[in-house]
Amino acid sequence: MFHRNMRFDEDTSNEAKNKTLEREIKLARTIQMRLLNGNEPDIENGSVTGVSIPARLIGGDYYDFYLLPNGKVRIILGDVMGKGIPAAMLMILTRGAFRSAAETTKGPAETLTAMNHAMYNDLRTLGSFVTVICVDWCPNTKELTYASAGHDLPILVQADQTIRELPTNKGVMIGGLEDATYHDGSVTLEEHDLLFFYTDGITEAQDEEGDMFRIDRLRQVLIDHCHESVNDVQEAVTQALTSFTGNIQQKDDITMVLLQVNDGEADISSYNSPVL
Amino acid sequence: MYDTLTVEKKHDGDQCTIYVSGVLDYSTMDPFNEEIEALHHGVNNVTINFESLEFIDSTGIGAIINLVHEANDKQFKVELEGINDDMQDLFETIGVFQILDSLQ
Repeated sequence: MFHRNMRFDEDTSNEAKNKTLEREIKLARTIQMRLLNGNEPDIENGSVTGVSIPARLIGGDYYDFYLLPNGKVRIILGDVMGKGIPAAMLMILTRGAFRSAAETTKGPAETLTAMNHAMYNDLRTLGSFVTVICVDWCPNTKELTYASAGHDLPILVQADQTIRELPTNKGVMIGGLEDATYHDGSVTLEEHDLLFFYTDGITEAQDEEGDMFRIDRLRQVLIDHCHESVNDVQEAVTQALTSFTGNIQQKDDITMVLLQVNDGEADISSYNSPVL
Repeated sequence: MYDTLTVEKKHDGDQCTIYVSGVLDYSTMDPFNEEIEALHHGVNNVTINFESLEFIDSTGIGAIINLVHEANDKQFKVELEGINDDMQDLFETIGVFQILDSLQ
C-alpha cells in the first residue's frame, strides 16, 4: 500500500513536471515565432518572402530582413549547429548579433566579421557554430553584395530559366576562427531574376528509400516556377518537398528566403518575416 | 529504421586512426565523442578516416571542429582522410579546411 502510494505520488509528480516542461517549450516556441513573425520590410523594385519550418517544436534556422538608411535591404539566413531547444537558444543569440551588427556595419562582410567577433567566445565555449549567408540588395542599382560564413550561396535563376552561378565566396563559419575575416562579392541582377536562399534541411530532406532531395531537384523546381510570384515559388518548393518525403518525418529545420527583381513593383509578402 | 554509427580506433605508436562508418549526425554522435574523450595522452597524431561514412550533419562537423581546436590547445595533429566529393564540397563551404590550415 505504501509502495503503491509512493508510485502514485511519483507518477503525479512526473506528470506535473511533464506538463510544466511542455508549457515552457510552447512558450519558447511562441517567443521564437513572435521574433520571426513581424512587420514586413518595404522595399522597392522587388518582392521578398521567407518561411522557416522547424523539424521540432522550435528550431535553429534563422532569417531576417533589415532595412538600411541608404535604401538597401540587408538579408541574412543562418543555420545553427544541432537541433531543437539548444539550437533555438543559439538562434536567438545569432539574431541579436545580426541586429546589433547591421546597425553599424557597411556591408555583408563587415556584418559577418562583427557577428563572429561578438559570438566567437560563446560558441567556442559551447562547442557550436553557425553558418550564415548575408547580402545587401540595392533596389535602385540592382546590385547584390554578398558574403558567406560557411553557408551555401543562394541560387540565382534568370528570366530565361537558366541558372547563373554566383562567383565563389567562401568564408569560415561563425564560431570557427577567432580572427576570421570575410570579403564581399557582388553581381548586378536583371529584371525578373529570382534569388533563392536555403538551408540544408531542403537539400538533405530524405524520401522513404533514404535518398536526398539534393540541389539538382531544388534547381529544377526553381527553374520550372521562376516566372511565378515569390509566394507561389515558395509554395512549389514546399509542395515538392512534401511530395518527395512522403510519410518520412522531417529531420532538419527547413528555411527559405526568396527575392525577385520586379521593376516598379512593390509586392512584399512574408508570413514569417522578422520584426524590423 | 534508425541511423547508426560505427567507430573503430587503431593505435600505432603515437598515431591513432579513427575509422567512422555509417551516419555521423545529431542522433549518432555518442560513440564518436566517447572515442575522442578516451584518446590517450601519448597520442601526437589523430587521423579521422571517413572512407565508409555515408552522411555527416552539422553536429558531426561540429565534433570534428572541436577536435581540431582541442588539438591546437593540447598540441597534437589532426588529419582527415577518405573524404568523398560531397564531403569535400561541404567541408570547403563550411570552412573546415580553413580552420585546419589556420590552427595546425
